[in-house]
Amino acid sequence: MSNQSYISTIIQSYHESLEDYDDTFIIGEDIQHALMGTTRDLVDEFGKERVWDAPISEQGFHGLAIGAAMDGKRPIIEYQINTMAYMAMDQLVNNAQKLRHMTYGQVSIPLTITVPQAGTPGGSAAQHSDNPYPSLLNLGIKTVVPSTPYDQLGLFRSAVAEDDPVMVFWPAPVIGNRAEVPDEHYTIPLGEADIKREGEDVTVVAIGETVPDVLSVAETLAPEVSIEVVDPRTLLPLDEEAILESVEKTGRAVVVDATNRTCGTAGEIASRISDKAFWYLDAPVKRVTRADVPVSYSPPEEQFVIPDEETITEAIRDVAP
Amino acid sequence: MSQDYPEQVQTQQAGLSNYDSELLRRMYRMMREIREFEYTADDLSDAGEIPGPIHLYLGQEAVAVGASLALGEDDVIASTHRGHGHVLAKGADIDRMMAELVGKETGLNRGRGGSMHMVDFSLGIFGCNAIVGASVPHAAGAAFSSKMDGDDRVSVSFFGDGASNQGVVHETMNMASIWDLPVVFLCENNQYGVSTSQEDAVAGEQISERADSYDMDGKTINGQNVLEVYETIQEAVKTTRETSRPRLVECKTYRYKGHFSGEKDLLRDRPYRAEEEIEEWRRERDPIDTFRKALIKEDVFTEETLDQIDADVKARLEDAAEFALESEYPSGDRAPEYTYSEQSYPNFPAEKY
Repeated sequence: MSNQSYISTIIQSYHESLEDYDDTFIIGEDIQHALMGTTRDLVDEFGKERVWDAPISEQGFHGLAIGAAMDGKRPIIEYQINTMAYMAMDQLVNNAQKLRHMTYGQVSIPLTITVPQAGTPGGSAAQHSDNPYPSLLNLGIKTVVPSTPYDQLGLFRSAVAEDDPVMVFWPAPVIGNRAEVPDEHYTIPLGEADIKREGEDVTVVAIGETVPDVLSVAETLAPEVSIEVVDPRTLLPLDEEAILESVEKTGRAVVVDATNRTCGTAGEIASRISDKAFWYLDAPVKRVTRADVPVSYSPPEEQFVIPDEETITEAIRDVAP
Repeated sequence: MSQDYPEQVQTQQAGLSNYDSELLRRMYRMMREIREFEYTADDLSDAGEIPGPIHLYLGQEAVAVGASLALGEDDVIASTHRGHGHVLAKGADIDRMMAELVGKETGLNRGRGGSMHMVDFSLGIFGCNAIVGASVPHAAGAAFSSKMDGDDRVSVSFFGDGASNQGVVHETMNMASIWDLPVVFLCENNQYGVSTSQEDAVAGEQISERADSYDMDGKTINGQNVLEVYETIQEAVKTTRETSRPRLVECKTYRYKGHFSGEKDLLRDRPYRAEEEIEEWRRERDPIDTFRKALIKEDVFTEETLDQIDADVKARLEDAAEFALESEYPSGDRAPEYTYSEQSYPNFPAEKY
């Protein structure tokens, strides 16, 4: 084991991917100089023919990566800004995601898209403070949101090996965290949740940046309520079984996610719990999400719309026995 | 060319006799205001008073000032993530700009927007924008609306060398041309899109050459010479107003600081440009220093007069910083206000719990 920062596992993931797959290249904005710190030393090691600084032409370079994928490459696109998917929705959704089905399996798009500083980096205002995965999930794109360095490294190895487009979100609030990571090679398959804390009374499903907050609340509330924290890690495919199994044990569920409430990820998970574990439930399924409000620049308004420990605590208390 | 008197000083000296001294004073003062605003913002950022990233306009002052002074109050501008200079030059209140940067209730956007979203619609400032190229169609849209109304307003669309590669910018130029929209596309080529040199990102010799593809006039000028910017944009605006034909002006300029305030820490060990390059632009082509030298050499103003302007501007920005710091933050629970035009429905917009 070694103590690694989340971002160092990202650097490792990129290096491994370029080593392991001859047909992989990385493209994005300002990645040769590693503006986000994630693509450090890649040019020195692999050369500019595999590490591309694109012009600010997002729709264009998404389409270009997809075309290269249709021709057998395994591209990685790194975003500089967490809302960049909005610039490229047509290429992502109408093309990358639909091509396999539209061609009756004649083509694969093994494209990995990475989103550093996803969510709320702080003071970045409305246009740079989103976690756009609910809309992408709704449109069928495989999505991974690792909350720890260990999960990041293991999940990335699976994501880059996928023969479909996969989006990997690296939440801003956890990207600076450190944790023990095994030195030996391991992978975490997509679609496998992790029980981050075992408990008996209430299941809290926590996604991405909310995992540390939920664990903190669980620790604080430990004397009064025993909380089980389930981190799905992958949102599509979703490990429904692990979530249901936990809820069947506890009979109570809160879903926490730092994205918008309406048609959000938490709504989807809460609906599946209500549908499939209804007869085990002793309380309504609760959600803590972002408010359906754009993120403001000023700190008090910014904090008001995103999930916080106080609100998570309130939701847990509302369902706890 | 001596080090004290770069070539650009002589070029500016030659043009000064065509100007009324009051206009020259405004040009000088406004450039100083932008520069001092940015120094103040940089200091506040270093002091932890600014919640988010800021993108400083230092080095590019002549473009905003030359262009804005060529516009009428009703004319529209649309700006970029590096928009403090444009907003200030178009007449926005300096106190409210600074308060916006600090995220306060008294800011131009009441703390909602910060560095990248300042607006003042009463002054035709249609906003800075955090998405590269996104404001370009907004400028054209204002021109479209102006044409529908049959008035004679002109829009100026500020964008950078980076944005010149965005599809939406090309789409907008095409529409502006086929529909005869009164918009001046003003490309501030400051040489770098974040760390990426325009030499590695832009096809062709000059961005202005792209105007040919859209059947517009295109021109590249020295964006460090405030007189050249003023004269060019004044002529461009006049012609556009008369003919309703769009055009493209590329101003060659240079940003002295990093792309944004966090860059100095992020890229400390891996610079993308040489210090000597920055120094050379500062020494030979600084828009304020060269203009100042030209004004003094031609006896338009004495050194003392300009020193007094500098001192006045410095004091003005100290007041602005004080205003910003002493203003209140908005309360957090105000966040949902103005999400929609009408919010009287139950739990609308939805709360987080």
